[in-house]
Amino acid sequence: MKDWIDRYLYAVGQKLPRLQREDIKKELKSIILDDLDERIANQKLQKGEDYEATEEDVFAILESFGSPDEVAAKYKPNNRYLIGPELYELYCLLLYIVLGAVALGISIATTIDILSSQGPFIEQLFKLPMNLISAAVSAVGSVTIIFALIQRFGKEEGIKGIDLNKNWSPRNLEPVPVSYEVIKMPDTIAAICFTIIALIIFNRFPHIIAMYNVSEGITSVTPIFNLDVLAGYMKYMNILWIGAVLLNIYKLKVGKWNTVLRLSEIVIDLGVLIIVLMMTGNPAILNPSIKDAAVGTEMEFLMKLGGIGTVSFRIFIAVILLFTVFEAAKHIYYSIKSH
Amino acid sequence: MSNLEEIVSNLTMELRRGTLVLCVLSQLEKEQYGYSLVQSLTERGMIIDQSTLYPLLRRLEKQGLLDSNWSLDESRPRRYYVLNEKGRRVLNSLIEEWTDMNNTITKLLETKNGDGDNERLD
Repeated sequence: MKDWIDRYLYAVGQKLPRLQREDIKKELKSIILDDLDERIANQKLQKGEDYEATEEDVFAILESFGSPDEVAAKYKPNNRYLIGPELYELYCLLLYIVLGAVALGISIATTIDILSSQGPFIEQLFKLPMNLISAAVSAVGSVTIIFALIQRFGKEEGIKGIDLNKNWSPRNLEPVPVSYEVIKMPDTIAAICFTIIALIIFNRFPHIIAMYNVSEGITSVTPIFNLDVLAGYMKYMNILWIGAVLLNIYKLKVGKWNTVLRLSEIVIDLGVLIIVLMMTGNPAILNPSIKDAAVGTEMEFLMKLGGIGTVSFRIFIAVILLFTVFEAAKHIYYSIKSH
Repeated sequence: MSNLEEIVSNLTMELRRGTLVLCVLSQLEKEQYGYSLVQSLTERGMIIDQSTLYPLLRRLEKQGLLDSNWSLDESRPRRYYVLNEKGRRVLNSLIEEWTDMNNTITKLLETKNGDGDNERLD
């Protein structure tokens, strides 16, 4: 019968901090035995003096104490956090910063790697998400481990001192941004993604922007652009696109429009517009063999659409122009309004 | 258990949890060992889970509010706990806090706006 109690105490002891283990076990044992005595005394009152204690009595007592895990858990300190509330805010903040920096770094490094290597495009493109995921996992992992260690071994007072909200004052509250001042996160993230994709494709794989013509099982690929002429424009386009990526990352960080941001946005938009106009105004930008390749295919209508000076071309230019001017005007209007 | 009962039971548990230390300290003016303390609390209507009580006693001892010693005079060794000077001062402060709180809450519950003049809440 004692054996069950010893088993129980052993099971609890396994989960207890080593230093207090023996002491707690000794105390628990005396309490359990007290309880058992009381129960047996009660049983004798009910069932007569010759009642013999059974294993069931022991089980009843042990059940009333609860599972060894539960009992041991209650002896441990309350704050059993991986990362406690005092550290959590700082943890999240650092996590965003580290993740952002890692994502940016890996994106740039992988983009350069893709641009400078010669493998097939699709395979190369898979590198980016793969690299991003593994870098993100290790970044989250190391930040978490560092914080868990601070939580585990840091002095309680020290950790409380780290609390970001300790020096809070209502005087430092930011004004509530008016709706037109808020930078929309999804738009900005989409802009970053598309710009990076454009950077990769137009620089490293301009030949895949092509007319794909399948006839008799053979695919003939005719690039739309004259790659040499295109490269000449790309030098300038790259500056603007990289500028746009950096600007958008900065927009993510501040989350609110200001005059400098709006001006930078206008400058980049206008710059892109000018380059697009220059490109479309230069017939040499097109691959000379594209017209021949298009003849006799379902793509033939494209050639009619694309000719410089045609109505459809003018509409195309007008749309881009209007869009850019509208965006610029919007920025200028809001910029004035917010002052 | 219905949703309502569950909410009430959780909230009741939280209410009791807050008063546990006060209840335990109040019974330790004179030495008690684990089992006798459970008895004395239960007799007075405060039912406390044993697996909560004993760790609590150790915590209070660690905080310096209780003294403990193993008594070897009886049939089996028992650990006795008793209030020390610091514990007694803490207990007195807690009693004051409790009395204030009790008065405030009683007033709040008796009347709708706490000024003692209105009819009792339904």
